[in-house]
Amino acid sequence: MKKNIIFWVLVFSAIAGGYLMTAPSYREADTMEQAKEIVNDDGYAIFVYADGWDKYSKPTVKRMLNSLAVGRALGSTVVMQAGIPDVSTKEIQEARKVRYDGLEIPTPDSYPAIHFYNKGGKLQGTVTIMYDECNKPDIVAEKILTIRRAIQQRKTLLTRAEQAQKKLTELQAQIEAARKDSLDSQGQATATPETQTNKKLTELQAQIEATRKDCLDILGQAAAIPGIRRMEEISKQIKNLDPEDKSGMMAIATLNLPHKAIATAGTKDWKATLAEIKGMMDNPLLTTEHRQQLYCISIGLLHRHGGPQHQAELKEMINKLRALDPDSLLGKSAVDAARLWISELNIIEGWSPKCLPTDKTPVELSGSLPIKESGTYEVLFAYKSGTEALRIAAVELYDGDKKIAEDRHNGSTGHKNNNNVYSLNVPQTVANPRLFITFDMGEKRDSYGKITITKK
Amino acid sequence: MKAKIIVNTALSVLAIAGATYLVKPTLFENILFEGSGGDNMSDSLKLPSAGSTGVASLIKGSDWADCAAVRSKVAEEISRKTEGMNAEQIVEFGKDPENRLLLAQWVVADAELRSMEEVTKSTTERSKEIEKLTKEIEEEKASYPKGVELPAATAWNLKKKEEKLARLQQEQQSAHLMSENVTAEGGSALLDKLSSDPNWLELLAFSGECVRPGMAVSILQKIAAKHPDMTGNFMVRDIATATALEYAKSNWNQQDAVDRADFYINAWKSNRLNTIFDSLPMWQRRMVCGCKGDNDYGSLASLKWSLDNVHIPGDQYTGACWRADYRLNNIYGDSIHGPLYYAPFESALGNNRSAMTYYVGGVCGSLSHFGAFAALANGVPAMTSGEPGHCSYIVLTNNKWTPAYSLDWRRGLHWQVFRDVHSFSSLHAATELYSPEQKDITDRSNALRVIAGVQAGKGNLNRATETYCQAVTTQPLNWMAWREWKEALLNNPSTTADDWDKLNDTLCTKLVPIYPEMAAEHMMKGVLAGMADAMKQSPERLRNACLKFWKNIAVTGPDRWPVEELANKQLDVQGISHKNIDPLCSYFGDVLNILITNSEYAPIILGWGNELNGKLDETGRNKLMASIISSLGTTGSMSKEERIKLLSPAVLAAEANRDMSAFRALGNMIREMGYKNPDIKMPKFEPFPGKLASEGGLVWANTTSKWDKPYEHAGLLTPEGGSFHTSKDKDPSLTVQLPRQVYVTGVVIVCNPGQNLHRCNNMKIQVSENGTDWTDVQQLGPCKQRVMRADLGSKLPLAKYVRIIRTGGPDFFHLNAVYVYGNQAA
Repeated sequence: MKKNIIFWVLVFSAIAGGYLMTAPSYREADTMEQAKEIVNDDGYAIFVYADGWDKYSKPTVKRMLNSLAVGRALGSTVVMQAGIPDVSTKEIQEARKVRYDGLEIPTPDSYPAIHFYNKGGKLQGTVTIMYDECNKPDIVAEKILTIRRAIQQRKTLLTRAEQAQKKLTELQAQIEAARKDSLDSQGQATATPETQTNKKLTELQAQIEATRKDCLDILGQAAAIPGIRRMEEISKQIKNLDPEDKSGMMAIATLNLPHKAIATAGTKDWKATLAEIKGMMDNPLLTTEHRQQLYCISIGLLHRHGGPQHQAELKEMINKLRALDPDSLLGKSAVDAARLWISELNIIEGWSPKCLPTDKTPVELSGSLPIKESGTYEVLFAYKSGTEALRIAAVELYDGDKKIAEDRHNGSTGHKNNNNVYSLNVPQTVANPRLFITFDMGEKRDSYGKITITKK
Repeated sequence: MKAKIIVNTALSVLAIAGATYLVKPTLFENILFEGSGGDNMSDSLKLPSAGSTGVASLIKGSDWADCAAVRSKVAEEISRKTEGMNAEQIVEFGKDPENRLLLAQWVVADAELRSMEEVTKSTTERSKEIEKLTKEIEEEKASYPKGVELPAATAWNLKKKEEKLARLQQEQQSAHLMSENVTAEGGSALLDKLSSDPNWLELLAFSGECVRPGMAVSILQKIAAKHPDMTGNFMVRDIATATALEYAKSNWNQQDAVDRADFYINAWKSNRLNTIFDSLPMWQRRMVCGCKGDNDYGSLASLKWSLDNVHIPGDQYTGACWRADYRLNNIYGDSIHGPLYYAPFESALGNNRSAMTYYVGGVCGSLSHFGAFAALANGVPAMTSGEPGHCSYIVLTNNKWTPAYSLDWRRGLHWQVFRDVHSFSSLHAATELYSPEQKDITDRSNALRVIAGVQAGKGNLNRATETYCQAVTTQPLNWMAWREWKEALLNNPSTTADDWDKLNDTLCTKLVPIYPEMAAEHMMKGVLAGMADAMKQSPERLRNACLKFWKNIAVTGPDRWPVEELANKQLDVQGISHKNIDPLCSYFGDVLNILITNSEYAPIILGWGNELNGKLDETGRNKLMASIISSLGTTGSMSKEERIKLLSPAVLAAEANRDMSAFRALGNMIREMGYKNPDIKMPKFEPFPGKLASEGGLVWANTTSKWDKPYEHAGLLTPEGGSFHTSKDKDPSLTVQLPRQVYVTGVVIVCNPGQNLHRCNNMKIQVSENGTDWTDVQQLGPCKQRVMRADLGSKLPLAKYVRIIRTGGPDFFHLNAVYVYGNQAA
């Protein structure tokens, strides 16, 4: 009997203990007044839902708060709920202000949503519960954890930054004192050997610079944490520490690249702007998105102003843009950019001014080339229209990366044809035929025509 | 042993119960969301099953093969039944379900016959387009060797053309006429149901315009194939009908209509729409389900995106446009005014234009569409609207049509409840017309309207006129009854001046006092022309008929409307131009005399006078001025300044009405009258970059005072300068409404000379895009010189309004000029 009782007590204890270890520990409050009494460092969360104007967000909030996963993710956050009506009259807004003690409750992207605040009542970030997540507390819990981690990470960084700033203030006081020590009451240099004073001052100065850099790095990291609300204070602190922005931190914090795109849209001195943008790429603090945006601005400048001689550069930029993050919107837009702005010399389309270079860089002929078996192939250039004849210098055939045939002679095709057929003697079967043509057009490129390849 | 078992059992139960309690929350983890829409349909949503309406219909489904015969047969029956009936008996007639069916059947048959020519024309045009496109595609394909990989750009263009062709071919195969529906599979059965259900058929006939009903039925047929519960669930039926009517009205693609209806049916069934949608009147449901069916913001992808991403309270949609960034150039630097702005994002986002705007940006057009369609996707009535050089939108917020991102009162609706009526007033008129409170009189008016139509069809103009008159007297907001009355007069060669007088009298006494803009629309869309033609021999009669409008005017309506346009049209039909000085001045004087005591219309008419003034020679101008002076109740012996002072109330009224055009016109009038205050001498100053954006704007102070000279207010925005003088207020202010939205580069403030510069201390400059929400952009300090400058070049705030507040305690506030510089935004 005794043993049984002990056994069941143990079972109960295990269950209760397990529960206590894993059960939600968030606390609920109806008003800010109640919330303030129980809040700790985890801060507040307000679950906002549609008050009567939709039929799912209120039950969703209920479901989330009943969910173990969401409960755990909330930690010991103080949770409140706010039903937002379809029309918020001034009276309703006032009542809300009173109930939540002036806490900012902005309109989220979509309802329902969870606003997170720090202990001081400052909004830190928002999690939107999408419709297809209404039955997926695990996903919502993950979102909550992500934002709470981000908030915590920033908080930790800001504490570190505060300590660094404190240290900085102390060092500045020390250097001030050291400077004072080096002077007598008349303001003249004391007998302390100059080198000793200088050494101390230099050391302190170096420590100050290191601490300032450390502090700026920490603040930069805090400012760059994604998914939470930006804090104006961080920018202010960065500006205070580095008014001239020698660290480049402010430039990143205030970087508005879409604005840059607008400003450079019709620029006459596009080459200088392009060079400036290339220079910006060197900044190691840039995010992937920043870099994508810089490529977009450069691609825009090149496609509007660059002309055919910049096609290779344009193509390179587009490829880099795509490679940075192919699944992002800008990465995907690179596919369209290529379609829209890269003019390739194509066996089907033939040539046009857009795909003729001004220099003698060989241009690859794209498309399916009818070259496979060994034998002699003739490449014929036939002019169709334009004010200029097409001038050709060479045709080279590669199998992959290996050159296997070429014909170098000056030819032209216009109203009259002159040596406009190029012969290629192909010794063996070609697995990956690639044809390169060298034109000799210069600035005059108003020429259109077709290219045909036939086996003799 | 027994005790042991009992204790063990009790402990087991307790343990299980305890454990269950403790892990309870996890049981909620995967409970599916319970919808209360379609699948759990309440009885109130269920429709009677087929054939159970209990109403005997004269018309069967198959009869619609010949709509002329249907109309004729129904007209005969209506005539027979209503012959000799008085107004009260007609009211009773309209209540009977069988008769309701007859009335609706007549409207549908009549609409079908009216649409037939257009349908045939559009079928022929589509056929030509298909032929042209097929040829283009074939030629393009033939120009490339078979089996080769096409260049990306060529392949893309070809794909687009093929998609367009497929859509056109699909549309061409669809039914567009009632007769085609009869022969289509299941069409006759659907028409049977529709023809015998008065509630459903009335939705087609009387919920707004009924255009191309044959096409609407074809769309319904397609929706029913996807949603078989269409005939059993009233919400599904209403969504389907609303969508079908709107897509047919504008002759949009039928498959798009099915997709649109599918979106709303599914969203409603899964309880995702704003609950306002559940109780929308049919005309508003038509707006929601059928707004801009040919626009990518209304594509299935866009609507789904907006429903997912912009699900907010109804009163927030007026600000939803600002979710997207206002950007003239995209991230590639390409302008929105060219084809490349959205082109680089087409592969990724396709026709999801809302997401495109959100991620790429846009200007007024895109932003307003974004905001309007965010509301529409959530089931909230909204639409975009055109303003001069701008696009805004309107949302139904708390039962009020609220303009959003609006810069001007001159706005034309992009969705119309009545065909070709773009006025803001029409939304308000329709709200009343189709309200539950007015349902009875609207139904009665519609019954009379149909009976009048039957009478007019039989050539009995007198009886038709009488019945139409009863219809609009019963319900003055019945736009279609007015229109059909007017058409009956225009189409009948024996129409007399008396007939037009009757229509004009009724319009002026019934509609002008409540919805003057709607009445003016009727006037300008045929009534004035009809009257002018019939009263050719009697100019005085025509003049009196025109003046009647102004005599009956009482309110402005929901917003300012183009009063001057009607007044000019009235001159036009009377054959009065700027060359006929005497009749022009006389008519203007009469209109002004009628309205001089009306604080809303007097400034507008004075403004109109100024517009006319600009077209006259000196003699004409003197005579027109004499008319104004006379209307202002004074004699010609007054001094110039005394005459001008008389315009002060008009200026203040224009300011209070925020009527920029009237304010501008009054300012011009005062200047042309040669007024200039010799004490105002303007100092030199350096302008800011950009244009002088405040030129031609509107300005008003928070209060006036005995020192204020309102006739000098317009001068505040001109190089000559002007003045205003507030009373001693806590935070006195001056607000400038700019003619268009600009990025402000700077503000120059010219203070009054003399000892009172301290009254301009601590001026704060604020900007606003809507005149309600203000942002501080500059705080000025003590005022030590006449010219104060606020350089906003580094901020470039977007503004339609600029306000200068004199902060720092109660004081008077006065200035000589305010100049706002900037670069145009939209």
